[in-house]
Amino acid sequence: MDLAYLMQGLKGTLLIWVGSLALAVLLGVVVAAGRRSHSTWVRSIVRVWVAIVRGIPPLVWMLLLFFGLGWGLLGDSPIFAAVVALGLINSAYIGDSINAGLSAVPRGQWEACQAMALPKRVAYLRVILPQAFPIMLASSTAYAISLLKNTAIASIIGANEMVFYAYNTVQLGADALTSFFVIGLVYLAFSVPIGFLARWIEGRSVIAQVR
Amino acid sequence: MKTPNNGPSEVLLAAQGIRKSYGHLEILRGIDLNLGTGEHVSIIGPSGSGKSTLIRCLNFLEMPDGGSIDFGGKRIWDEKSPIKEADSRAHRTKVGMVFQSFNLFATHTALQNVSIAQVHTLGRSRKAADDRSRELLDQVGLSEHLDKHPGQLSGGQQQRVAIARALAMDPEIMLFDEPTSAIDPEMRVEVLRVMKDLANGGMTMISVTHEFNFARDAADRVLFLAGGLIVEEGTPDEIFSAPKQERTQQFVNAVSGIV
Repeated sequence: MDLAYLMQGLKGTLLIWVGSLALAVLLGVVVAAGRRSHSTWVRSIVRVWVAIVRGIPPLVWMLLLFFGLGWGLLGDSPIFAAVVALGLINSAYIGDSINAGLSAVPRGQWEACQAMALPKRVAYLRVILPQAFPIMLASSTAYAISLLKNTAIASIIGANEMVFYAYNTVQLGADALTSFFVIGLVYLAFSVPIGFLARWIEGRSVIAQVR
Repeated sequence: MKTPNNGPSEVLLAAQGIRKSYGHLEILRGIDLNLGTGEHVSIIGPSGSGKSTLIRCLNFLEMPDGGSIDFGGKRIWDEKSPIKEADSRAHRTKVGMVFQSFNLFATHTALQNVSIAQVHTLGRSRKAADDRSRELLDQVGLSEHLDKHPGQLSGGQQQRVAIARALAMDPEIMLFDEPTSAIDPEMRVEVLRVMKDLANGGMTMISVTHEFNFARDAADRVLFLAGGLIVEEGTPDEIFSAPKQERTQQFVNAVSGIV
């Protein structure tokens, strides 16, 4: 298998992965804020949104965005369509892991902030988030790994990522087993270290130590 | 016996007819509590009697359902006029709170725990705040532990940091919510000593406690709460040695281990 070809594919894979991850985190913050809103209305809207986003397979989302719902904007670029589709889906998961991280901070920490009249911004930035962040990161990382694997689906709408390139080389006569084995290793080279990193961060968190 | 206050003092806190329910469960059924400047009232009573809920209502960690609260001669809350966020924050700067489970900020050192609200709530400079924190931590016997995190301190030490943290706001009144219940018996004595010094130094205090010896020595008045009502109220001697109500007698005997 041609290494230059592999690198081309890897570029596409990383582009989809990093792009959709960034979008997922951005929208995830909105989802988490919505989940914690005092308004029943906002909470209901977010709940429905999360159910819709999670309930449709990633591939169907991609096809919908690529062929129909993109309003002409996404139809030209399969990579862009894949970024938006995976970003939307994972915003639901990342949003919930942000929410879970905040909920894991003991109530007493919030109460102490209140009792000392700390401004909300200070309470979040200096007390709550430093404790919640390792927990959010640990569970978000698990989603980031599954997101990396899901980028492979984008080959079906013709995004120039690794699976797409590997498939093409095979069509042109390369050995199928070797080609797909090599890209399998490349996926592992990213997902395994990230998994270790997540566990290391989680192990260092204050809340994990207390329990 | 606590060092008595000099002469009659003005009323600092007046809570009238405080009521609070969770769903159908009535926790407080109309509590009156007046506190003079420099006075120390201990609240005793069985679990679920509403002791904690009562003092948490006094700094609006819980919103009472009914009644009124005056502080420093001014009406700050009643059931007809809900308190604004800014007003409840202003009130909380005058009220120090010590929790049963310490609630120290886990990612901050002892010194940072005591300084954070001085800087971010009161607007003191970092230097002025840290100086004051060192002074207070020294006062509670922890000058050796300034840079330790809560996880590296014993329960008794953590609670003394928490007391220093509350005192750092220069509060007009201190609320203690079962401050020694989560601490090993041996480690309680240091915390109780700090609290007793505060009471004798003229700090206005309300303490919810099961430590009868402490209340006997350090309180001006004791309230016995049961079923969301004040069953009996009196000097420590009256409550512990000669209670008038049968229910008080039962409780005092049971906690003292008299069978």
